[in-house]
Amino acid sequence: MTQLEFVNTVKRLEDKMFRLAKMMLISTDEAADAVQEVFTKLWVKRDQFNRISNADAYFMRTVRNYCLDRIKSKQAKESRLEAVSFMMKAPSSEKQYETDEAVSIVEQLMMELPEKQRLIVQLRDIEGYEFKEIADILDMNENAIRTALSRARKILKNELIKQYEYGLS
Amino acid sequence: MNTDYHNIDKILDKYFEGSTGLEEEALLRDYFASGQIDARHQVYKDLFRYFKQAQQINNPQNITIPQTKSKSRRYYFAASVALLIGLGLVWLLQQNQNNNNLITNKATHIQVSNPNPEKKKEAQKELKKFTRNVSQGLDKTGTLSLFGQTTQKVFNLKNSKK
Repeated sequence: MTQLEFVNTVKRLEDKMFRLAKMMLISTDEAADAVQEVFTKLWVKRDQFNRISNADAYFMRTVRNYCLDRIKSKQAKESRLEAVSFMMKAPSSEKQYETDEAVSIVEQLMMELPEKQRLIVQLRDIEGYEFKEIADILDMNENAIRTALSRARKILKNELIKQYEYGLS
Repeated sequence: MNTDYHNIDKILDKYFEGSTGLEEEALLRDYFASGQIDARHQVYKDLFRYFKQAQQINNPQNITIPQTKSKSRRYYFAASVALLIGLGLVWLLQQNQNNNNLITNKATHIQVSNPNPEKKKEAQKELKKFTRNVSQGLDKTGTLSLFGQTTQKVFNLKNSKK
C-alpha cells in the first residue's frame, strides 16, 4: 500500500474507526486518542498491507483490539466509568449532533445491550458491513453474528414496544 | 410514492430475525426517513432515526501523520552528528592546549620580570639561607668521611689478626 493509498483508506475509515472506539470506550476523548494511536501503529506497518485482503476489516479489527486493551487498563476503565455515568445523567449533553429525547432513549437501550451485541448492531446497522466483514472484525463466525444480531434487534424491538405502549397509556 | 406497507411488514419481520440483506436494510432506512410511515410501524421509527444520526458522528480530532524519515536522510543525519562531535572534540583539544601555553607563558613572565624589589631581596635571602645549609651539609659529609676512614682502619686490623 502506498502512502497515498494508506492516507485515503484512513480518511475513508476515520469516522467509522472513531464510532467503533466510542461505542467501546464511551469517552469521546479516549475514542479520538484511540483512533490516533491505531493510525500511528498502522502507519509503521503500512508496507505489509499488500498482503491484507480486506483493509477495512483489518483497520477496524485493529481498533477493536486496541480498545479491548484499553478497557483492560485501569486508567481507561476509570474514564469509561466516568463517561457512562455522565451519559446516564445527561444523555444528550455529550453529543455532537442535534438529537431529541426519543433518539436518546434508543441510545440508552443500545448501551444496555451486552457489549458484543451492541458492537454487532453498530457494525451492521450503523456502519453497514457484511456479515463476513463483521465476523473478521470481531473474530467470530458468521452464524454466531447472525444469532447475536437477531437477539439484539429483538431486545431493542421489545423495549421500544414497551416504551411506545407506556407513552400511549 | 405508493409504499407497499405489506412488503415493509415482511422485511421488518426478516430484519428482527437477523436475516435481511444490506439492500433490504437500506430500503427500511429510506422508508423510515420518508415521513410516510404507517401507524403500525411508528414504534420502530426512533430506532432507524437513531441509526441515521449515529452515522453522522465524526472524529472530532484531526489525525496527525507521523513524520517519515527516509533511510538516506537518517544516514545523512547520523553522519552530520558524528562530524559535529568530531569537530567539537578537535576544538576542545585546541582550547586545552592554548590554555596550557598561556599558563606557562604567564609563569615565565612572572619569574623574569618580577619588579617588586622587596620580594627580590627576600628571594635572595632565602637563596643565601639555602646555600648556607648546603655548605653545612657538605661539612657534615666531611665528618662522615672521617668516620668511614676510621671504620676502614679497624676493619683492616681485624683482618690482619686473622
